[in-house]
Amino acid sequence: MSSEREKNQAAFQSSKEELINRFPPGHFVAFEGGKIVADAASFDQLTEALAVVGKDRPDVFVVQVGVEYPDEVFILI
Amino acid sequence: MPGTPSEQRTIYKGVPARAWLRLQLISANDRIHELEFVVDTGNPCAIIIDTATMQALQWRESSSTNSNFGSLEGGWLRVVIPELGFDEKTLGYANDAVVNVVKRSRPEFAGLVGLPMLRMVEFGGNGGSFWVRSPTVH
Repeated sequence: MSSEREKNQAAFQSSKEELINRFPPGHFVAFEGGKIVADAASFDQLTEALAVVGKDRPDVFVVQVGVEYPDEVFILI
Repeated sequence: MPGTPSEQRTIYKGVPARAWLRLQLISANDRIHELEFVVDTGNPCAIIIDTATMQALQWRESSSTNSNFGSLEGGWLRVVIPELGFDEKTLGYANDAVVNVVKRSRPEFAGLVGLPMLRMVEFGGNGGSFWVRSPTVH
């Protein structure tokens, strides 16, 4: 995992409560450099918002507020 | 016929035979990759692909998680099922070990699709085939 991804992952983990308080469920939030850089009600609107701030790139970290991201999963194939 | 759900139906294949479906993954610069995926309703991830494919196709990075196959690196993918008119940005994961196991059934398989993906459509199977359909409007 890249250090940038680790930084964004850590920022997301530590700000889950803040995200729930600031944004409605399902809202999309983008992180870069461990900081929130854009948010929007849909993925496509977020893409537009990222383009406005010059950050429409695949290495930007995006999560949805209120969605459960499990720490661990078990896969049977 | 109006009201008839559209459908993708596939004949089980691989050794051992596996349920599978065909998805288009479309990159941010509109490159279309049509790939075949084993279907497993017990898989808690919408879609798992190899790391090279994720690097080529992801629209954004996302939250990663641990698994019995190692780290699953999250990424947003544009997933299209043309027969259904399905076109959604979907949270997927990259893990080469999972894909290598899937390929033992059939080398052409590109990864694994799980229940979160299937719940966005309707799905089913019988003795000979597996299908996904556009959701029924009630």
